[in-house]
Amino acid sequence: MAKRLSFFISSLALLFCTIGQEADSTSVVAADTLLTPSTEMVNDSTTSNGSEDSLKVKKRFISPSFYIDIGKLFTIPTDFETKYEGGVEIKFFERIPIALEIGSAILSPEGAYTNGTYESSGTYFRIGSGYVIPYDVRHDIGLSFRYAAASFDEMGRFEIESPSGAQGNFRDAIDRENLTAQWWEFGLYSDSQLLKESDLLRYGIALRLRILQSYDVQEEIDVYSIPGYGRSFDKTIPSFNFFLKFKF
Amino acid sequence: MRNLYPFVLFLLLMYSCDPCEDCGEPLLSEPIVNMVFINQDSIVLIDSALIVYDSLDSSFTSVNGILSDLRDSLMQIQDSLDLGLVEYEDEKVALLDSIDILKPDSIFLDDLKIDSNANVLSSTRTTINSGLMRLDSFSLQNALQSTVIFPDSLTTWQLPLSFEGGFSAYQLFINNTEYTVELGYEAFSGLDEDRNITIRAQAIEVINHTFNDLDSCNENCIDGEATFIFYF
Repeated sequence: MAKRLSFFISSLALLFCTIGQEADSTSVVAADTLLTPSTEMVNDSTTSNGSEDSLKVKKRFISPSFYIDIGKLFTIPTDFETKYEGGVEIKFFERIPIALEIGSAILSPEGAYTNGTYESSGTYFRIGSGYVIPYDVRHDIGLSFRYAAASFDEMGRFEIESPSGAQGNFRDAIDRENLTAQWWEFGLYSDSQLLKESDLLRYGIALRLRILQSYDVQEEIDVYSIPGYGRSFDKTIPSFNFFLKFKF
Repeated sequence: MRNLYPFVLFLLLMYSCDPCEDCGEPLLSEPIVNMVFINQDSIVLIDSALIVYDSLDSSFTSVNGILSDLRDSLMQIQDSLDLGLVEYEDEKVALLDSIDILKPDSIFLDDLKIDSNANVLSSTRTTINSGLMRLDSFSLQNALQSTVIFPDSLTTWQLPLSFEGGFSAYQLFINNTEYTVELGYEAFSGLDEDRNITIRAQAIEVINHTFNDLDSCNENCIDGEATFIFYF
């Protein structure tokens, strides 16, 4: 419980720090944009009125980047889940991204089996595209869709006592390997330039709705947690990613 | 959008929390089967006794009817004698002799308290037929072989099914007499509403038994619902 609380507090603290930095940098941009345009911004010399220079983003044919999910790193010290996730993205004309995300997770939710232990571990990937709309010179928002699939194992131990006392305790294990699941994700994301002078580092959030397509249903005790998705009995799940992006 | 970040993160963390205060604790539960034990031998004896009591009751009714008729006749003869018709004197003596012969039978049958005893027997028969009895003890023939002793009487006995193997063999003692029952079933695991893993059983059937007779489960032969009636 204490770990979960510290995880929550540290997550919030980091988020507030980054938001504070974002607010600070945004105000600078508002004041200084025309004075110190970034390397990706140019004065439009064709504008008739020189005092009302407008800014245009250079539309590169390909913009590669890779990113890591910062939020998931906070799960490493916890005892109920450990997740890693990252991705690569190639953006065409600064508008159409093609993304591949991969991740791994070890999930040990306490509530999976009340009279036992549980662990689901495996890897997953998402592939998809979307559409990016520049919000201003340093912020983008966009729509995204992904197809995702996971391959994972489930392990559990449980124990049952005999209330009549006629027999000994019953202990057994659940051990399933090479389970698979597929789902779709649709959502919105926003990313922002982290440093005022450079577009190399960006950070942002993605809000997505996961829609489960299929998974290897088990006849007796069904799959509980799917790495990259969540609980199997939730056919739709909202999700949130907080990522740091390295852009080239 | 910026103001949304902490709110969304908070919601996500709350959503993903999966607390469970007593997780990992063993569940106290086992699949059970209902058994009813009926002492059919006692019921047969009681039925025989009830037939006897019924016969005695008929005799008592008959004797009392004859006595009543004799007494009526005696009253009429006594009226005639009171009018001076002395020729009825011999008939009066004959009637009195008959009454004296039948009177002890009536008294004997009345002393038997036929109705009361028949009611007690009938009530006892109903109780036995309901299955209310005391099972001295039973043991499930598994590795542990722990004998369970019962202090009270019950109508339906809920006996545990073995967790493993799809087979349970019981050794039962009723009035110091040993009986055995063997059950076969398909064991499977499931989750209850509190996400406890439980062991369930279906297609429960009696493979073998040493009782006199059996009414077997015909439908819904699953744990908790299947009922078997044994007659001894």
